[in-house]
This record gives sequence, structure tokens and C-alpha cells, in this order.
Amino acid sequence: MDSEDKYLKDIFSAGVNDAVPFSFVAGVNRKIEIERALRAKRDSRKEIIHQAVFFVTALAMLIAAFIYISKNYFDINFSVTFSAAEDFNSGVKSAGLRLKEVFLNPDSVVWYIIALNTALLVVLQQVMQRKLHASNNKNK
Amino acid sequence: MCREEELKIIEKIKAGDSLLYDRLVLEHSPKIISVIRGVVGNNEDSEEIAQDVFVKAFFSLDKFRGDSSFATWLFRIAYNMAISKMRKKRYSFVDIEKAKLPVFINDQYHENEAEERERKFIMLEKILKNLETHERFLIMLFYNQDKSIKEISQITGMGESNVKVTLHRIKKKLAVIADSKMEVSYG
Repeated sequence: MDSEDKYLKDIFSAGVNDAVPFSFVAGVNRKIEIERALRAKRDSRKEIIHQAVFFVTALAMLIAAFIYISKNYFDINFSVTFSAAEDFNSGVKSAGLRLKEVFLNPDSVVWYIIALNTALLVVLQQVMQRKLHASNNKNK
Repeated sequence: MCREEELKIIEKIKAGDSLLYDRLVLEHSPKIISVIRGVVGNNEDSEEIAQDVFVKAFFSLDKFRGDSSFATWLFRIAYNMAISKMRKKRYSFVDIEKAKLPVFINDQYHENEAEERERKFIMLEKILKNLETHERFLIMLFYNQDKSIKEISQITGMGESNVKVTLHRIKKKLAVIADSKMEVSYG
């Protein structure tokens, strides 16, 4: 360290602060509490948004699946259905036959697998959500 | 507080004992406030920014891996925060308040000491006023906190040679400001 450094160090020693204002730590704690509350609010808002997005996506997929199934498997012609309702017996009979055709069809196995996977994913999502929520609470 | 003790406290805070954070705040706040006061220039703003530094550090504690000392890590947060706050607020350096200067008037010795301290304070104010924000931070770390070039490099993210060059440039500036015959020979 040269003389210049010594001189500057001497000058800068005037700015050394040894004491902390009494309110400083309390101020930090207060700000931490405020930030914690804000973060909790933000997290819950984020969770609500995630759930809403999940719900809307699931609903859209369900509607799409219904449209697809109705078009490719049931092939419902509403005008025919309404006219068939006039003859109740034949209507029930034809609906039963169609349901049987749909559910006992070997091609429907794919749909059973898809439904099972969807159910499994929903259960997994719920389990994960609860676990994450529990660990978040623990960290707080 | 030794490094091992500090790391133990940090682990406990991470595990959920957040009350222990007060100890870290009490330990490190004088240094952080000193440096930020040198950058910002007034007590109120510097304490406000220093509090924000500790709040940010508290919520980022999981990211602290212990590669550097906790003080270095805190200074890094303080550096980024001070620079960004100065940029956002667009306020210029405010004269360092003399309110915190200790007043010793009981005897001649202390009176002289107070005068001497005030003289240094005025000089320090003059020096800092003429520097850029990041330059003030660098010079405060180097002369006020006795940080090494390596530590300053870790704090600011600048390369070591870059820190050396910047400090050399600052000292050149200071030589003009202080109007002294100081020999600029930083190496």
C-alpha cells in the first residue's frame, strides 16, 4: 500500500459505520413479513390461474372428445333420434344397441386406455399439488 | 462471528428458524449501510436500500451455496440493488449527512478529533460526489471495507484486471479532485 492508498484509506475511514440504528432490524423484519404476505398472495393467485387453465383445458378436451365420439361412433342424427322418440320402445332398443356396440366394441379398448390414463393423470396432479402445497407450508 | 458459525446459522434459517436471521442482519448491516451510504449519499435512502438488500437476501438464501463468504454474497446483492435503484430513481449523489458524526466536545483532544473527522468527511463527500455510481461502490469496497481485488471482482462480476483498471482510473480522478500531489501508481 503506497502513501496515496494510505491517505485515501484514512479519508474513507471517516465513512465507516459501526452502529446500526435501533429500528433497522425491526424494519428488516417488517419488510420480510410484508414480502412474505405478498408472495403468499402471489402464489395463491398463480395456483388459481393454474387450476383455471387446467380446468378449461380439460373441459375443452372433454368437449372435443364428445364431439369426436359422437361423430365417429354414435353418429347421432338428431332428427332421426327425435322421430324415433315417438316410438319409445324402438328408441330405447336402438339406443341400447348403440351403447352395446360402443362399449363392447374391441376398438373401444383404445378409449378405455385413454380414459384410464386421464384418470391417472388427474389423480397424480392432485397428489403432486397437495405435496407441493404441504412442502410450501413447511418452508414458511 | 466465524464462517462455520455463520454457515450453521444459515442452515438453520433455511430449515425454518427465521428468527436467527436477526443475528446475520446485526452482524453485517454496519458494513452494508456504510458502503451504500457512500454510494447514495444520505442516511435515509441508504438504510432503506440496505433493508431491501437483507430482505432480498432472506428470500434468496436457498441460492447461497457458501462458495464465497456471506458478506461477499450480501455485497453482491447490495451492488446490484444500489446500481438499479440509482438508475431507476435517477437521483444524483446527495451530500453525506453529517448528522451521524459523533460530537466530542468534552475536552480539547476530542474536539480536535471531531474537527479532523469532519474535515475527512468533507473530503470524502467531495471525492464521492465526483464519481459514477459503480465507481463509488468500488472505491468504498476497496478503501472503506478493505476488500481485495479478488473479492471486489466476485462482488461486482467484473474481471480482476478490469477492477484494477477501474480502480486505477478512479484514483487518477481522485488525484485531480483532491488537488494533491499524490502519485498515481496503483499496481
